[in-house]
Amino acid sequence: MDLVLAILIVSSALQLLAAAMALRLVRHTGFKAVWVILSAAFVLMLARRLLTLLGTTNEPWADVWTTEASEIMALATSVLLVVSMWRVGVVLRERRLIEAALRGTSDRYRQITDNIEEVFWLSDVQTGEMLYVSPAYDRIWGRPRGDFLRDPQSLLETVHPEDRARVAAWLAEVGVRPLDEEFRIVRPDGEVRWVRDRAFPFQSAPDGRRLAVGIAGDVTERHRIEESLRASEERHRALSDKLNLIMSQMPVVVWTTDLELRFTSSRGAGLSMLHLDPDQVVGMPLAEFLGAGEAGQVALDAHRRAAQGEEATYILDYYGRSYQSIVQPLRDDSGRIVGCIGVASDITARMQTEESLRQAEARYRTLFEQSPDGVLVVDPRTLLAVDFNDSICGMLGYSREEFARLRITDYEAAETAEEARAHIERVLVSGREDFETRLRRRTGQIIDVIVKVRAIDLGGRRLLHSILRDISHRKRSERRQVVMMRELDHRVKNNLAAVVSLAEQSARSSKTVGEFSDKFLGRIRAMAQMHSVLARTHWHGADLRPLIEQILEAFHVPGHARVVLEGPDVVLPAGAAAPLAMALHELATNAVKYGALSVAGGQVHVAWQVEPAGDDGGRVRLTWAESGGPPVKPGASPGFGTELICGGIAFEMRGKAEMKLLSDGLTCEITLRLDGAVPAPETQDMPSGPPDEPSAAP
Amino acid sequence: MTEPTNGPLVGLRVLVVEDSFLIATSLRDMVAGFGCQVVGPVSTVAAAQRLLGDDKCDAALLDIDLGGETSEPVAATMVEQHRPFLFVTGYSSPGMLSAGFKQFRRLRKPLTEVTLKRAMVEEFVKH
Repeated sequence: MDLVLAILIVSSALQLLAAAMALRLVRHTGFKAVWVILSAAFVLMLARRLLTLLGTTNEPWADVWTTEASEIMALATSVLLVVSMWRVGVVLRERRLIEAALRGTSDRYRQITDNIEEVFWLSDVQTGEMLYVSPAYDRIWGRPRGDFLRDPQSLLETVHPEDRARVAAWLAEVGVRPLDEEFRIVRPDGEVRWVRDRAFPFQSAPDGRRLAVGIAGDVTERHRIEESLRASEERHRALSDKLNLIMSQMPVVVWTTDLELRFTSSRGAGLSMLHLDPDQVVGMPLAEFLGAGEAGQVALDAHRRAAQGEEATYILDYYGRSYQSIVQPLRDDSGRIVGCIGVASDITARMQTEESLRQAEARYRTLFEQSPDGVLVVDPRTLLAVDFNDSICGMLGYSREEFARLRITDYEAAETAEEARAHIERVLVSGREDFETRLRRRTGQIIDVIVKVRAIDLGGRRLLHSILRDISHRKRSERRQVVMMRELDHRVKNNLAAVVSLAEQSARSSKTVGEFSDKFLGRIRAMAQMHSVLARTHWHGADLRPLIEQILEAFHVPGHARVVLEGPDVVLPAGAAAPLAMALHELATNAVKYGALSVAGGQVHVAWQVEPAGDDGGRVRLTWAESGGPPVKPGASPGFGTELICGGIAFEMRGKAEMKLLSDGLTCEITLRLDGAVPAPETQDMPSGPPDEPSAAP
Repeated sequence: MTEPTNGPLVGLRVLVVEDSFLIATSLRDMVAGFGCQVVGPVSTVAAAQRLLGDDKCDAALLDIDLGGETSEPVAATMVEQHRPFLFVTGYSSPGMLSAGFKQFRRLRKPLTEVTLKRAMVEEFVKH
């Protein structure tokens, strides 16, 4: 009994221990029913053991709880135990696995929350307690999160004073509704950061607590970018405003069009001149704006070219104003042509200035070209004409093309090339000079000119501007005047010499003063009459008939009818006048004294005719025929008269005078050449000795 | 007028070139009066040159203006032949003469016998 008892006690103890372990396990696994049953079984088994041990065999339920029953019970308990143990093993293994898995997940979440950039927080709305704050807080706020966890209200102290009120209001609402707020915090180092905090209220599932979870991120960078964007935008807007201001005041018209050539913008102060507001024409087709007409077409074509990528310029006359316009392709950022851009500047004033300049230019050009004086602009280095008018070409007989190739030295006739160059140098120094010179025409003829030269600066070049006037005519007349004065001097002296000669000759053949006086004065008178005839034609020639009439008029012939003149009008060379006048005077004197005119009934027939022109321009043959005079007495003494009649005509005029004494009276035949040219070189010398006897003398 | 048989000019052959008949006559008479032998008068350069070519004269009186020509060629011949001559002219200035002849002596018309004779002696006899 003792051994059995001992074993029993040990066994029971072990069983109890096992059961206790099983029960603990089961409790942990959640099999509650099994646990209750097992617990009851153990209690019953424990009670029986105790009763057994105490020796109380006769308990009321001893019959029920027999030993067999007790053993079955123990067996069942063991079975249950084994089953439980198995079950518990399974459960424990699963639980270990689950726990491991759960532990991994939890770690991961923690890792995430601990490591995310944002601050992850969890708070109890009701208590205001901060349940969790992720470590990012330390980084963003620059403070240990412990402070915050201990005193959530300390958060407000970290907020920028300007945002504090707003954040306080915000905090009051956490847990009521989802919130999203941005505010500034001030870090201990003074740095200000922007924080975006989002909070979501929720009800805790396990315990129904009202919690709030939130994520607070550092958005300083975003704010900085936004700030700089805003600043940039502001700058851009300011610039744009400024540009607009400038554009609107630029003294031009600037416009853009799309590819369909509709206006997309228009700017510039020039618009006011067209009574347009900026952008007023936007949307209007260019063609409509320009209207029909050639000028508009030119502008349209320019835009079309610009739309094709070309630059085009044109001048547009629009409502009385002129615009110099440039149109270029308008490109977008990618360089694609999206339209045209044009700039037009009002050049009306310039055009007017240019026009008046052009008119002035034309006016001066006309003055230059039409000047009767030659105008010449010469480059002193090349001596070539830079500019010149037609007058100087005409003056020198060159075409413009020919003259353009000539140097001054090519037509200067009064100075050698060296002298001309030196002269030009002097004018360049003095700046101006007026002088007379002579120029050679193309034909070689020399003309006299008066030149007024001025050194001028034209287009950066020092040039000589000359005005030339042809004074050849004046010079000729001056020279003629000199010649005439000399000629007058010469003639007077020659005439006086002739008078002296006449006096000498008359004296030589006169026996008395009275005779000398008659002869001399008669001859002087004849010379005077001859001069008056010559004067009528300005010494160009002598009309034959008036000459004869003048000479004969001096003789008081009784009855004019006895002198008959017969012949055509003919003009004798001036040189013939003197010898012929002398001859006629001597013939008449002789006739009045001794010949036909000395008696009544006597007659003189003066006839002349012109013989046809030969090589020498023709001759005049004049016949003096006396009739009805006294009987001719041969042997009269020769005298100066005869020499004057024959010698003069022969000596001076290459003429011929032949005297014949016919029975009727004296006849003289005079032949004179009409050309008046220099006598042919045939010798017609005057007899060196005293004149020969006339064939007949009165 | 009787001709002198002695005197500085006697026998000198003097060419007279003058285109005016009256003056030529006067000159001829004066020169003949000095005892010279008058050659001419002639009124043209050609006639004068022919006479000079024939070596017929020792000296000459040359009217400058011969009505369309001047007596310069005759003077040139005289210079060539080293014979003396005198210009006779109505002009007061030597303007009509070319540069080469302006230095030669000129007698002005009208001439008197005294003037002519003195000049002829001075110019013609010293040669």
